[in-house]
Amino acid sequence: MAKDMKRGATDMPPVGAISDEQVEDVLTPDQQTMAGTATAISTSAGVPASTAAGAEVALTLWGDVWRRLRKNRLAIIGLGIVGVLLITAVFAPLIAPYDTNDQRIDVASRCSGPCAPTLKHWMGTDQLGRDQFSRIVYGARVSVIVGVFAVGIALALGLALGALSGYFGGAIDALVMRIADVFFAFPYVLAAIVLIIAIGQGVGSIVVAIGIFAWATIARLLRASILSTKETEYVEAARALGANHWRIITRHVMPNSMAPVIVYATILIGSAILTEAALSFLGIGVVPPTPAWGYMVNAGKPFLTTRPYMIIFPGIAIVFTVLGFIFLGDGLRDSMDPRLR
Amino acid sequence: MAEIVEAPVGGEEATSAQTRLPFESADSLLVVRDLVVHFHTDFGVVKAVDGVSYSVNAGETLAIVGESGSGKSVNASAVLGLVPPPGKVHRGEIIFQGQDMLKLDDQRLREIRGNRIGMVFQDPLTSLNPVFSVGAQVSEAVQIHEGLARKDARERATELLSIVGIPRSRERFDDYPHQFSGGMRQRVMIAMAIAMKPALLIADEPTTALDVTVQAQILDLLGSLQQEFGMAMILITHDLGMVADQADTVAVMYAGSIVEYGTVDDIYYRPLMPYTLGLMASVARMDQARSGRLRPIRGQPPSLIFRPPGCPFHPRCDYAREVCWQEQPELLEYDQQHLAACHFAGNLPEPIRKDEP
Amino acid sequence: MSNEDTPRKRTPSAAKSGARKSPAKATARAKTPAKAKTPVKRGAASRPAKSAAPRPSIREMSGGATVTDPAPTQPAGTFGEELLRVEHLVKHFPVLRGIIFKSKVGTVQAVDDVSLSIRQGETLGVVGESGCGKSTTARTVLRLLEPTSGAIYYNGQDIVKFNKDQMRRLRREMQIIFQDPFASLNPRMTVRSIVSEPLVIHGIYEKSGGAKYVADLLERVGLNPEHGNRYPHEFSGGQRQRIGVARALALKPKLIICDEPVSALDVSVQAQILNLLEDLQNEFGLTYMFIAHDLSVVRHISDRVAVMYLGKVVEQADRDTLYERPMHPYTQALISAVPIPDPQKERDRKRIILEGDLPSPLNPPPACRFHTRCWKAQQICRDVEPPLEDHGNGHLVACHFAEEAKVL
Repeated sequence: MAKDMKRGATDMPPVGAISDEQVEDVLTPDQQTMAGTATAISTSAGVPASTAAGAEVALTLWGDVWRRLRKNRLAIIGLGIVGVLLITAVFAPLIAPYDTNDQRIDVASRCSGPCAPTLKHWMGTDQLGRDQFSRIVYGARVSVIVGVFAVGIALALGLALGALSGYFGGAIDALVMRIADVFFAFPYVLAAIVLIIAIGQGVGSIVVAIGIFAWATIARLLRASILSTKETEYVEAARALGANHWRIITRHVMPNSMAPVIVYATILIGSAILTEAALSFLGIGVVPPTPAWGYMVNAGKPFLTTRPYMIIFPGIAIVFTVLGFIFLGDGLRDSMDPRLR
Repeated sequence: MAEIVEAPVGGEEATSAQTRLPFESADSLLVVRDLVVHFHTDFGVVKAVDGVSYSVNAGETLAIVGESGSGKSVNASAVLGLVPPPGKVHRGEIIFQGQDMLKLDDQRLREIRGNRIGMVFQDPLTSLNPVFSVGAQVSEAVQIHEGLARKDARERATELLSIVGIPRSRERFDDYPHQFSGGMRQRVMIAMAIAMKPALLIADEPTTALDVTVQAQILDLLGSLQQEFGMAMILITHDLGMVADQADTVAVMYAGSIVEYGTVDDIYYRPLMPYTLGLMASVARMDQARSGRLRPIRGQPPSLIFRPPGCPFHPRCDYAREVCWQEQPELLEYDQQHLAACHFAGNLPEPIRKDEP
Repeated sequence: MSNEDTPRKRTPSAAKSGARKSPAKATARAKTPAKAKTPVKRGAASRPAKSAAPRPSIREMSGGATVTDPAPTQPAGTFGEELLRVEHLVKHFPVLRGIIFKSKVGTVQAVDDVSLSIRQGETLGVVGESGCGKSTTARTVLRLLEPTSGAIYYNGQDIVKFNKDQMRRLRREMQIIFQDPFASLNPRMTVRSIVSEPLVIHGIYEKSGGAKYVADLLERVGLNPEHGNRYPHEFSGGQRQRIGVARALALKPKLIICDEPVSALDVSVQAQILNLLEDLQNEFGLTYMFIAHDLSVVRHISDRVAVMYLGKVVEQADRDTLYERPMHPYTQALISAVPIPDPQKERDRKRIILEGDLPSPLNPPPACRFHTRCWKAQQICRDVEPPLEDHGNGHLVACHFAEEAKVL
């Protein structure tokens, strides 16, 4: 009970939900806080109003976000998809019934190419007689690796440069932002193709290519967010206390500027996976025989009209994965939106 | 004095039209009876306005005073039929010039709003549309209600702008809101509010966002417009000085209810309810030499979701006894036209002053 | 009326260039005898009159009034020696345009030649409307903003010349309480970490007693120490302001700048915080610079009050003199504009309604900055800037036509 009240007390949704200045009058944050303490006070009138009954329920950023996210059906669907993807990638050897490179010439020749789904191969087999389902399961690994590492590189670059740019401003800001502009000016996929040709094909190249072209957006987002955060009074208070730049950036500015970056990074994972699929489809992504979804779609191309399941299954995997990240990102945006808190 | 004269408000039966409010008379412009507005949120029902009754006579000013979260603004938006979702008027009557506003359709309501009831809000920046010129917005208001031609509307709008004291109104007609200062923007809002010479003006914290000297200008303007047009005014504010300056009658709101209601002199010089007493004692006085520490009301204003049981003020009250957390006191008339919602109104027991934090 | 005739006379420009060293010396001299003593408490037995050597430059003006030091010594009172002295403080903000190649298109003269002084244990109120430069003054005193020119003497030392290290050490002595209790606390930190942060920053967390000390602090400001694990949004406005007070108090500073500490709070809660600030002042011998736009609150809490208008101090006096016998037309208008919570008094009061709006500090009126809205303005007000003159007992007024009036 106490816990529930605390929750209710600390929530702001009435304000956000009503989103009208008059509502300030209905329920200010003060009152929200008091909601939980009202009963406590009536029994012990006169004590400072902060004496709420019940255990401490510290609401951290993530606790708060999760509570709102839980109510967003699309976000939960997105989270589910992402969860399935991760589990699939991690436990691929346990899930996949066959070896991905187990070419069954006999099967292929019997079907004269790819076989239709059967009970044994419920997504069918490809032109070399390999089990499609197993290849899709392993393909999740490539997708996750590309998504995570590419976004990791983009985050590392974007956060560092964006923080410098936003916090210090001036010449550093101008320089970083002009460099970012240059990266914006490149056509993304084209630049990736050039880079892959230069440093060679493979998962690593894709990761690097996506990473170094995606940082600019992250840097911009973070910079914009920091510009408003660094003007807040709590940052000023920290300066008045004598805190150095490092402390101010890491303890005060960054934790309060990350929300838009987290949202964007989530969606970016989806789009990195999509880019990888596109590059693999074009034949310059993952090196065969490593199973990758884009590559599988490519392989199914000649059989588009006769055996569409060659394309449908990996296509569905790509679409759902990307959608999953977009749903989750949108959900995070809604639950992290400062206007709602 | 403590004798109960009558029980005009509170309780279900008070909604009947026969019971008369203390300040209600034949020429009462607005009579609100037992108004209940709730906001249904995920976290419970916010009882923003919980059984409020009052009346405003033509040409008079009623001040509704309260702290943040007392429900004073929701009260006003209910009168205008503008309760924002998820708010809902659950019960009550809002009789304006003989018509129950709650029974009118949207079309009729819109005609009354802005035509016979004008409104001025706290923040003049967000109330004006930044992409239209100030003059265009005022002429639009005129056009909608008066049905004037474009050219006449412009003429009338210019006139209105000069009435509210905007210098060189003809030149400034085509300026945009951001080119106006806060005080000037508030004047524009007032021009739009009074365009149709409304019978009632609802001013919700009209000067809170303004500087002191500009506040004086706006109050002065509102006062003279009120005289000129014979407008009644509902002034919603937390500023006890402004109330003393402007109001004829005062309703003090606390946690969604009116806890004291009377003439301005009664409220300031003969307060009955401990919350009103506490408010008066806790403000610093500019006109008096310092006479020691302030006497604050302890604690914080309560939540409207978890309203304390009994008298909502009892957790902060120095006089609270057992009855106060068991029964909610009704707003009763203790003296001629002076109502209070307190079990001990006019007859307060010994204070039990706890150590203030 | 020119101030620039003889070289002996101190002119603002001379002081700005750092030619004069005397105030530093004077204050330094003044403070030595009492150095070891504990801070003076308000209401404590009257101390001897301020022992500082008389300011060297009291001189006769043609008008007959005396021009004192820019930050004149106020009459002896119950307060200790001078703690803070601001001289000819100027803070201009350049207005820039352009992205890479920025060009200056104007200057906001936020603070223009402001001089103030505060004694140990005293509360100096600074009032004014938005844009008058009161908050900028406060932030410049703390060197959160770098002054364009001028000197800030803390305990006799010009802190404008302090380097990073010296400044860091000084921050233990000067703190600030902010206006908005919702914006001044980091929402991602628990109350305990907010209040211990100053101690951690200065590396004295363990030495000061650590968690126990923080709990004591929270208790002292009226919060339950058990709630240290909570986040700021779980508290109401008044309680958050208490957290802000605890944070400012943690390093046991001597001077606290209160920047509108109660204006965001409800009336009934305002009084709680004001009382808390007063109690802490008595207990720890704190000195306050109390910045507010609410004249009632300022009268209640201040010992002396300075009124600012468009970056200038226009009047300064002890609190009762300022409110009972204001001399500057702006002060008079300001006081008269504030409605008093007393209906009968209000009916009898006459309000001075100023014309027009506050001019922009980007382009303030020349000479007397108030002349555009002043009912007394003559040609001289448009031509000659009135100096801040002493009209007796440290009642300083910057007006050519200063005259007492009762406006309450």
